[in-house]
Amino acid sequence: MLKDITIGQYIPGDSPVHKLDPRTKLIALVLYMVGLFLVNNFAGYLVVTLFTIGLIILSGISIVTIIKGFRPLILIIVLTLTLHVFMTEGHILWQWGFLKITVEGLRQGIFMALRLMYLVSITSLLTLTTTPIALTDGLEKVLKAFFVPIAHELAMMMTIALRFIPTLIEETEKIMKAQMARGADFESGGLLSRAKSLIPLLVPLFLSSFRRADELAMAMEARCYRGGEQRTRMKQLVMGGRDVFAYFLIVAFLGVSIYSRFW
Amino acid sequence: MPIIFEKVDYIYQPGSPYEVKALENINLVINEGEFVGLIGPTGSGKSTLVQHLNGLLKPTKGSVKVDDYEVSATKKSKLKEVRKRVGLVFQYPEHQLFEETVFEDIAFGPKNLGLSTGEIGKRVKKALHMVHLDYDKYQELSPFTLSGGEKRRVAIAGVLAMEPKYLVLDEPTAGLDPRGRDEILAQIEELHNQGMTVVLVSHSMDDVARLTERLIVMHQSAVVFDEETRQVFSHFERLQEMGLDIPTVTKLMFRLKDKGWSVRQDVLTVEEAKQEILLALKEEKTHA
Amino acid sequence: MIEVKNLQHQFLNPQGGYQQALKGVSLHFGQGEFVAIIGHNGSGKSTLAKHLNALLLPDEGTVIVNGLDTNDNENIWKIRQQVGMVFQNPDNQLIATTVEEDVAFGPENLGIEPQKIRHLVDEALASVGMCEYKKRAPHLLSGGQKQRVAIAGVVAMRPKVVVLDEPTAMLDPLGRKEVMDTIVKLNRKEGLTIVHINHFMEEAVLADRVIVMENGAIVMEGSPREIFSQVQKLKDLCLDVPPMMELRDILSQNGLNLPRDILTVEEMVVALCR
Repeated sequence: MLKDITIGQYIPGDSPVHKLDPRTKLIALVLYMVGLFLVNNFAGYLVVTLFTIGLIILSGISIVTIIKGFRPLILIIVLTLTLHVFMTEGHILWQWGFLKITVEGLRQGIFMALRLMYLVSITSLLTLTTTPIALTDGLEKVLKAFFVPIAHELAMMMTIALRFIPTLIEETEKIMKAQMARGADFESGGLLSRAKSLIPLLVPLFLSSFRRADELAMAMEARCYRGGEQRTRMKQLVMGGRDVFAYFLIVAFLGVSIYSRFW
Repeated sequence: MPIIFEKVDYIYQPGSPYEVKALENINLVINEGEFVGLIGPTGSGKSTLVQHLNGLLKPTKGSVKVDDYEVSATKKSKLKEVRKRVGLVFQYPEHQLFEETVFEDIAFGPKNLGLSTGEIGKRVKKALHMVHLDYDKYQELSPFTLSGGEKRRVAIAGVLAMEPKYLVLDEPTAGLDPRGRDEILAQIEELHNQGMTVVLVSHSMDDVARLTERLIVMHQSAVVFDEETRQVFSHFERLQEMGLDIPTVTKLMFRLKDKGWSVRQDVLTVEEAKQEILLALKEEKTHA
Repeated sequence: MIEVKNLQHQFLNPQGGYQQALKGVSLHFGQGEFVAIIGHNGSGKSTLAKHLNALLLPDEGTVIVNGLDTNDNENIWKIRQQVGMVFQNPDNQLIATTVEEDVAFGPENLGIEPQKIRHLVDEALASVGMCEYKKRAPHLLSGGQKQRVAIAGVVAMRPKVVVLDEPTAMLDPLGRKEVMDTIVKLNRKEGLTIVHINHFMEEAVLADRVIVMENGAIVMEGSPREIFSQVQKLKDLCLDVPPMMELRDILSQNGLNLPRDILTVEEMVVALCR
């Protein structure tokens, strides 16, 4: 049932964004975030908006898909907006009792909400245009380049986690059904009783996960795994002209973002 | 009272691009006291059907009646009544064990039924007895220190403690060696002899031939055969087309028949085969 | 190829005390052989299997793989490249998010150049018949398909021996057939030595040689026909007997004179029609 949904589902495509080296995309994401958090005026946000929309169009992913990604965060976005709108001091536009809306508040609120939405959009764009393997490979190489310890192990953990998410979901369903057949009820009752009812679900799940980890480790050792030293990779990551151009673009964006603060 | 399936359809994720029809027009009656086998290739709908027996799934169309309960009309809160009557043992049931002691784990079912402590104690004792595990020895042990076969029996006891009228077992011998398999099947046979209605889902033709009186064969979401076990195995070619096999001795009888021997083909065990062959040879001698 | 001499192994019993899993086993596996090791759970067959690729080390005795002693730490990785192992649970062997990535895992661990790995992966997938699935995610495969991918993952490392520890125990009949066909093909066409641990006698009959274990020791050894014709002994060991062998046995008890080694239905038909 839930097997077909993967976290940050990858949508295959042929766009320039798809074809970029994952390392480029990861580094670009970080630089983008820096730029996004640096802009603080109308001009700056205009630049960011144009850049973001441009990227989305370039990637060939539909706007609808991106907007769907906002759904889990609607609450936070609305909360942020509200807090800023009502809590910022400045020129009062409208007042009712102690509730007041200021020009500055409106501005801040909209900026912060936009910031959140753009952050989510571009992060989704990353996972929508990059396969999980490419992502973990890229992450591993980037971390290694920055001399982060256990870079390989982290990437390996990510790969294995991604691989087993659908399997674990399937297993959870199986255990739930088995316990329900014995009269377990996961749906009714107050918060506390529902939490308690999770024990017959979580204990077997944990146990099987430990067993799984043990067997997996043995299988990996049987195939000569001994950590990241001297391992090669079948899929090589190669940067091309496209990536150089992308770096140029993102640095330009960053430059303009910084500069916009002085407009 | 029987379990009745009437014109049952089941569709997974109806209306979505992932829509799959898992059951098509199922009409069945399972009477109390029967020993029914349910076979079919993977994907034929067996496990979907089985989950309708205790209300884990409700039909998309048609009705499923368990005793007096119309399953599709039963509210979630009342489904416990259905699960009291129909005990379902999934594959690798030992994977559902979670309590600190064998006693506690087996007590889980009765506790969910809201029974008194005294009654729960009685049921746990009885259930352990039914799976041939000594109460005094096992009740305090952690289920996780037991052997694979023992764990499985504790898991089955956990379902038996609900005192169901119908016991449905999905591949109870999966992953067991011949000895373990024989033990479990002997216990299931014993339970049946003591009055339990049993539905046995299995891939093993030999197991099913040995134990069941009636066999339901499923293929591509539908029931293809629903007859006496012996009758079903006479449909050799059709079964093969579906990717199913028949017991080796039955195959032998078919081949002998091809060669002109006058033997019955609805033979299920080695003993029966021997008798048929000796009989046929004697007849030849008297005719020679 | 693999010499096992007087192998002993004991481990801690969760219910207290030590248990002798292997009591002085001696065996030899030759190149290109297809050996089946059968026995019920607890007979020691899985423990024996894990010694062949140094996942377990002997308490006493030796295991020598192509001249390499498993006791010597230096040899472990070389041994594991030469002796590949496939396990019982299809899911708990596949670690990557696509089939071809998983098959590449072994060669990657060996530090082979990327171009060559691509080659090895494609060949391995071809030999198990899973080429069309190379970009598929593992969780979308059937049990039989997963096991074939696991086998490919081992074959891609170009081992000399493949040990399979109850590879079909968790599969449905179709999956079992797929896996057995693959194993037989690898032995016959590619000359791989196969050590197949299981308790399904329908699968053991496919081997060149059958070894029966009980209580940590070898109790029977011979060709499939030699072993399976000893009906009573097998029954005493709580093992399954091919139905035709059993039938042959009780028919001869009733006076019929039939050849000793009837394994298949056809052979029985031929014997009876004489």
